Amino acid sequence: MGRLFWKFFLAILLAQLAATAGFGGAIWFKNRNQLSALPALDGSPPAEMAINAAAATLEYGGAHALRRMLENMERHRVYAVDEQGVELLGRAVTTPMLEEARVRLKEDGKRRVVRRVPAQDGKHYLLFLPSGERLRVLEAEARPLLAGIANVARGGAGMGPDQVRGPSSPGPGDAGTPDGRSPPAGAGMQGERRDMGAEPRGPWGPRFQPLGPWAPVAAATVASLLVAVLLAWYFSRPIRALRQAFDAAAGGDLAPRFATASGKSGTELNDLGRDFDRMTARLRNLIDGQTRLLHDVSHELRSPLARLQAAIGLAYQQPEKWSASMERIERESVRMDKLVGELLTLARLEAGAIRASTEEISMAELLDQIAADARYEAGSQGRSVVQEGDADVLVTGQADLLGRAIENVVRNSIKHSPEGGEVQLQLRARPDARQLCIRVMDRGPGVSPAELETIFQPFFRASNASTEGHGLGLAIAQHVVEAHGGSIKATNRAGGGLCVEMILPLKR
Amino acid sequence: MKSKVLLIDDDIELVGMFKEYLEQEGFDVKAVHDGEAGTAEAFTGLYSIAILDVMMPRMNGLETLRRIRTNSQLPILMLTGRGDDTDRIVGLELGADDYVTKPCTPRELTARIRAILRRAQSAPVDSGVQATLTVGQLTMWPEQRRAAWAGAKLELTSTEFNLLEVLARNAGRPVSKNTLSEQGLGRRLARFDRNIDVHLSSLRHKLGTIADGRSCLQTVYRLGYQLIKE
Repeated sequence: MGRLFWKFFLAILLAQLAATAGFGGAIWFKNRNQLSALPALDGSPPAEMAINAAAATLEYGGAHALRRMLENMERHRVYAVDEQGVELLGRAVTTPMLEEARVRLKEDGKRRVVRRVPAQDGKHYLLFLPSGERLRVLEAEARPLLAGIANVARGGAGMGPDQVRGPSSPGPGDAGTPDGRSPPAGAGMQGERRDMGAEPRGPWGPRFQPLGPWAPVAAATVASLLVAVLLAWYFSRPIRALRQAFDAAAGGDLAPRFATASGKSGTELNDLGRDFDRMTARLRNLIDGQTRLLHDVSHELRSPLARLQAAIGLAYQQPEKWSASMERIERESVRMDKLVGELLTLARLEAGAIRASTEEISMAELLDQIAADARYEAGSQGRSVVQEGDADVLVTGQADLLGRAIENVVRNSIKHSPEGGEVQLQLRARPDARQLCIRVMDRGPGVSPAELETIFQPFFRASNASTEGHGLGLAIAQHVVEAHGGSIKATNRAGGGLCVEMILPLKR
Repeated sequence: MKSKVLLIDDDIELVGMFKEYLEQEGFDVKAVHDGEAGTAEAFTGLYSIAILDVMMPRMNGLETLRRIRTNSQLPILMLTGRGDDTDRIVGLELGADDYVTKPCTPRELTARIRAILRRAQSAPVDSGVQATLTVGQLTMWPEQRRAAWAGAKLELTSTEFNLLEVLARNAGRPVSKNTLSEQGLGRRLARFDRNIDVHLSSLRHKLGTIADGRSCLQTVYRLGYQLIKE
């Protein structure tokens, strides 16, 4: 578990605590408002009936009869308050309750929810039903179950739920409660039910009573800790995986690692993993390319060296053929020099060190020169070059580089042309599209379709051709043309042969 | 009689010069420029040795070597690029007899060819040497260049045969890599030369095990190799 895990953990825990506090506070406020908004007295028809019954009992049976009746009732236990404000059963009566009862008594119309009844002893009692009593009903129904659990939990035999429900065992300070807890102070209007250990305002509160007051808090804490741990782990895991991947990459291991792990897509972390894989794949390609290039370079340099050594060996062996050997040695060293030069150019182009400068190049002039040189070279090899079209346009760039690029393509075509073959140099200026299109076409063996892209890679040699050269010419041409904002592509011609098309943007 | 040498390399100019050089040195040289032609020539059985370039387009040298070895025990000298250790080791494992790094001087090449030919053609001159060598289950008939393990014929390249012969003559004693190189390969051991190790490793695969399950060819740390004498 890294530090990130603990940070996540703490953050989530804090968020949970804040949420709990906020939520709890909101509920508390809401409840308080609701309770204060509730009428203090119950005005429902059952309450009216209970009050009527209580009134009749009081009127004809007296205070004693009413007390007996109330003691045996389970619900709608009507309050009977005398002039001194003392309740018949000794239950606490709050002033607002009493005041509302008095107000209701005066305005009472059809439904009589507060009545003033004279008892036989001449005292007048005020009969009403506090609305709290109705809430008690719900509580009382839930009670037996919980009490039973409590009894079982404590192995308390002989203490049935009935006893617990306790209307039959009223009175303050009843010690026989199953909860065995001291009743909350200031139990308010439900004071007479202190045996239940009821919280005065919350009807649901007592549900957790058997586990003690800290049980819900502990449960909530454990749950929130668990959730925090899980969430922190869930978030920190992919980051840890990423870190390991970065470590591995730094150590040189560029294998893909997230391709299999993230079956589902969508989350940013998964995307990050995929991006990482893309990055390593690209790096791997680059490194592979460089390795291949290095390998090819060493091979290409080794070949002329091997020939040099062979020529030197021959010179030693046959001193009489000295001049022929020297000629060979010279040829090989020139070849090596050329190769090194081309490699350097390519390396500079690839590094972007050569930038097309803003020189204006007259393409007609440049192409005339190239065509003339090519014609001469082709002629000496029994091949010919034919120029078609005109290109009287200007291109911005570096004349020598661009010239070499086009020359490389033309030379390549001459080299691959059959004896007596013809190379076409087709020029087409398209001023409307601001483009110059140069096509070089031969009737050589062409290139297999799969290799049409790869012929522009350094040291590539078509598998169906075994001619001279290092395979750098076209690679250089591609880099130069692209540096000038153009494009180059190769296609096989109908009827055999290769067509290399270069498109260059004209001067603006 | 001139030894016939088969040169397989795609560098036409280089092959031309080697051919010229080797012909001056008294060899009969045939040059081909790709692996397929080389394999076909090797199978004619006319040659005493083949020189094979590992870096060739299309069918590369290693593939050519593998094909030749399916049907021929012709001694093969590889031309490998310096630094291409994997190519070299794979080549030796595939049954090449020795290698020369390219670029090499023609003189070095000639010396290597001579060494291999000498070993391959070495008839037992020493009359004191018995005609049959037997070590445990291994039986060798150097005069016929034949070897068998528990009666079954062993297919060995000439270099492997030479090395095994040296070990068998010294059975029960460790033989240093230097001795093995000089007597088996016909040249002195070069620095960091893995040649002997690779050949002995493939020999180990071809030979059986001794009674306790170990290989009969044991490496003796810092001394060399030893053929176990039971």
